[in-house]
Amino acid sequence: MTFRPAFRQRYLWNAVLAAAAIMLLVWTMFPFLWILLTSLKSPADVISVPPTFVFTPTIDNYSALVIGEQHGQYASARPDFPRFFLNSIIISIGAVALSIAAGIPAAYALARYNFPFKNVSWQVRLLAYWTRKTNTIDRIKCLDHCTYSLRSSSDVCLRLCKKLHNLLRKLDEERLALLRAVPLVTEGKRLICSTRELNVVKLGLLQRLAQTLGILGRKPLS
Amino acid sequence: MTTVRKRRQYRRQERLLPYLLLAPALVLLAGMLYPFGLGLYYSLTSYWLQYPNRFRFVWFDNYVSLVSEPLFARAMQFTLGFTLVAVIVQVGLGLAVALFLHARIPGRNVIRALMLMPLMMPPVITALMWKIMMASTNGGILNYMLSFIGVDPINWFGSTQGAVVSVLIIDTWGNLPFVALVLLGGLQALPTEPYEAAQVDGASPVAMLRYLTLPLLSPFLVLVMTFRTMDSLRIFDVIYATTAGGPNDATTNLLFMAYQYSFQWYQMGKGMAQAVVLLLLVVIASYLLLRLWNRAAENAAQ
Repeated sequence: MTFRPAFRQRYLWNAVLAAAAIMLLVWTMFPFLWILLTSLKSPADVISVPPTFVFTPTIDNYSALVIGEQHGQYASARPDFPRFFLNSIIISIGAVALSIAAGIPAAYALARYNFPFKNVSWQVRLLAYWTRKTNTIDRIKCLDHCTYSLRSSSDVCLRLCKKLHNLLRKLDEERLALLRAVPLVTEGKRLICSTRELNVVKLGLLQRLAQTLGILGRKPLS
Repeated sequence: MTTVRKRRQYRRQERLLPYLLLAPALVLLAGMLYPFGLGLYYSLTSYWLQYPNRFRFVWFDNYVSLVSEPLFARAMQFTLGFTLVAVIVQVGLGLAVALFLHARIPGRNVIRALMLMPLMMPPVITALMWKIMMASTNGGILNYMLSFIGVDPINWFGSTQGAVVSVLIIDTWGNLPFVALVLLGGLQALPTEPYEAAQVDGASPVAMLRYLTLPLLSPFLVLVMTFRTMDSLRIFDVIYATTAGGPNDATTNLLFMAYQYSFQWYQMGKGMAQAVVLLLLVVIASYLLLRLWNRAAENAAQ
């Protein structure tokens, strides 16, 4: 989106942009700046009224953390910072190690092997398809899945092939009209969806069947 | 004979191997589902840590008692109201920031990088930072700076309205970069041809924004709204670190109320029932928004 205003307006436009940039930076960065300043302040400076930007910096707040002991006026109520730091490291490394150790074998098993219940997610998606709750891409993927399983069941294949043969004898307009009339049969269930989708699906299905059986010689049917 | 047996053995192993590989992940999954199931079960009992003898299975009594609970109505009101305002404010500002960062300005990459810094902060730290800055006494920097433009000191966390606004500001500061990042990604993925065509036709920038950018960007807007709605409904860390639900329960949302019931007053049964109500709310909201997202994606694709 390239927007180039007229030359006269450009100064005004640049001023607006600059003001916006400054506002954005102040809004984002000021809390960080203020916390950094506060961390370098002595307790008296922290609660000074009005707040000061100019003060003698001190690193005692940090050294109190690292030493982990009572440290004069910078004593923290829970001074065991090194221990807390170690806890954080143990938790993050442990969580990463555990999820990788469990995730890698599981991913390998899902990608490499076939076993019952592997496609539970597919069945859920198909279920969602039949209740019309997924989006178009999912529907097309589901139907891809259907056609894939169709290819393996030769009975349905043969039935559809006969229809395909009959269809190819007709004229083009008629062919398309007939395609609309073909019921989409997948393992005994009939998919109900909008006419447009159905046509796309039928075309794809028949095309794939034709390609598989070498009827059309890989020529796209459309 | 031996070869057949070996082959059978091998095939059996081959059959069992995937389950073996899946076992650790399934154990982890069970470890995640078990507390969830336990919580569901507790929400149907009168579990109260102070009175272990009274533990009974009471079916939906906890849910029914929520209706007559005045705090529940207030918490529900705050949860829904806060979510509505937070999503509108954050998506609106995020869109403005994304459009700004998409424009050709000098130093754009530096601003983008700095802009993302709040994303790296844990929400509790963000809340504590703002708590220090919003101190109403003892040199709170925010009130001090507002005094320059003639604003009277605001009682940020002490008054009921102030506390709600404070939580809103802190949540917005922490999440604006996320919204802006997603929308900026969406803006950069938009096709350029419609804009070139619009420029040739002499469309004004406002018209381009209204009739090109917003419709094309709508899937991203709905997507980011979904994320923000779900997160705003279950906001906890900011409230816990700043107002702790107060003052006068003004910033108690459903999740904080469930926390108070379960772990401050030890009424596990009631607390879990509130958590389940919140879960249902989140599921319904995300379902509706995802449906909207499907529609927006289909419309934008045409």
